[in-house]
Amino acid sequence: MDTVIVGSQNPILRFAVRELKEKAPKGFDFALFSISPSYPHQDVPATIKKEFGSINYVGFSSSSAFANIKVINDGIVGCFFKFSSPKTKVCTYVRENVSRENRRDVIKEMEEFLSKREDKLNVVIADFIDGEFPILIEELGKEFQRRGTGVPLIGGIIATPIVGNERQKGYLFYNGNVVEDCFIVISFSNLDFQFQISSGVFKKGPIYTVTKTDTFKIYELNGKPAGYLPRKLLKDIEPSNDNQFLLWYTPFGIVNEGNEIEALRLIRSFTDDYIELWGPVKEGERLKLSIVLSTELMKDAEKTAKNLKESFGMADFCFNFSCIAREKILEQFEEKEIELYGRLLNAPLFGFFTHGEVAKKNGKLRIHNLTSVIAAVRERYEL
Amino acid sequence: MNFKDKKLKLFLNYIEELTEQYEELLNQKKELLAELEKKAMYDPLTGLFNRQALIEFLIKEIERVKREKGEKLFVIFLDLDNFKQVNDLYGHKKGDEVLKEVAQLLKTHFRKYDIVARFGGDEFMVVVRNRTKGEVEDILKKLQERIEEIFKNFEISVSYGIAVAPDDGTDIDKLITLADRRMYQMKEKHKAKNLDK
Repeated sequence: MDTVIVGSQNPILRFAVRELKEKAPKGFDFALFSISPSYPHQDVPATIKKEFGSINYVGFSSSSAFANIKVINDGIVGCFFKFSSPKTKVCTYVRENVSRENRRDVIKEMEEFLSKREDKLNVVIADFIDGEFPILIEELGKEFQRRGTGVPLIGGIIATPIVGNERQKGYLFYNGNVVEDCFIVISFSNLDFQFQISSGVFKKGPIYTVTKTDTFKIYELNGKPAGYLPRKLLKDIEPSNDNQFLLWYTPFGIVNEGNEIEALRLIRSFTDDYIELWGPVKEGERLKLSIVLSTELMKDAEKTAKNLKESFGMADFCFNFSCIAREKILEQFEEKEIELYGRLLNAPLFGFFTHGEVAKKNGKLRIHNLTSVIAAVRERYEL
Repeated sequence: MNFKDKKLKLFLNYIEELTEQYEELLNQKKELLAELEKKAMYDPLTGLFNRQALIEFLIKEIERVKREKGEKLFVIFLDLDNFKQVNDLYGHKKGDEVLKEVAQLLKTHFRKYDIVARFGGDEFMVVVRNRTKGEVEDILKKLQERIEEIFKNFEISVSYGIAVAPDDGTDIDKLITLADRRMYQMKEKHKAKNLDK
């Protein structure tokens, strides 16, 4: 498999796409495009068609994407796959107009699609869909666990700009259309792959039981109104807009009976009455309040990449879905993490910063925050 | 305040919360241990002390009797007569109710600082100090009459035996065995009396 990843920050969509076309390999089989929400989304399919003609691709809105060892902000990144074997195929499942009302049907459809793809690499790219997508993944994970299936599914929720506490809508570009309230599962067959999930948060911390919640909002911790906790963490810190990012340094970890962190949750907002998270929590779940430092994130990313290299060996390509909070916390080391992945795994890398990562941890498929999911991929060659 | 200073303050606040939570956990641990200790001393059905708590109490009291000349300690072994037939005829639920009521009667007939314990099954033990033998026997007779009156329908009575420290010795096992043997003597008399009827 030959994979070429190129980016452009040309502010004019047509020129940016043209730049990509010029650098793309001839006769590629499939392409992924990350497109900044600053471009006019309604023009994306027509522009791609005009420049590339009829090609097999999936595009999505994302404020930034990874082109090998570079983070491309406010631009477009294309990842072009040219498969060596005719057996290597890409199959997609797109679901639009996802809502609370059709949740059961969507889970059933996803299950049906994925149940036939246990030996394939399934990559999901989704919009947040007003919180519906994280709920879908949590429910799907429970269903997989109940059935004892181990379908490999990794991916992320596309990160779009947040104004105030409002997250801008994200779009998928598929089959010449712009779709919203949607997600897409891209299923690659004939690939060997392995993935790991890196966090780097401190493993110690006080543990609270969620005693009252409404999916994303925690109303009570240990039977007390939850709003006291962020207020206490921000005590004597003057109020400002960046305080919501400050709380990303103190994530919650949902812990299992052995007090091991199963999934991380970041604080999105809070009032005196509740704490709003970026992922769902359930009543009775126990949360460990942790802290995170950029140096620890880097150490864990290095350890994860080394482990992956050791167990997988040579990779043709890497996917990386990394939480947007890592970008903030890593500060000036923003690009160091993907640089490190590129150096250690020695392969082209494509990915993006996310508003939620999808991967299995300790055998459970869950939605995560503050993590970095890294997958090493290799095409199966015929002898 | 720049972002770096804010981060530092956030971490200090986090450490403060961590410390408070750990202190609360330590307090909870202490409370839990105290509760477990308490639970380990009591019989769950009757709320009386259990055998282990009684033995621990006896060990301390025997040492006290050994030290203080003239002190007497009464070790009383009680066993219900005809209790088995309550369980057999009316079921264990009824049997448990009888045991709970007997436990209440024992508590009301003895003083707060006397030790009343369920020894197992329908066997009870009481350890009494600062009383004369005559006073102890009076209380036991009154208790016996009350039990016979309340449980007339079940024909339940109580047999008991008393051992006195230091008169009968200061070895705990021997005192319990002696009180048990004397209780059996009374039980035999009750049986003989019932046969005569």
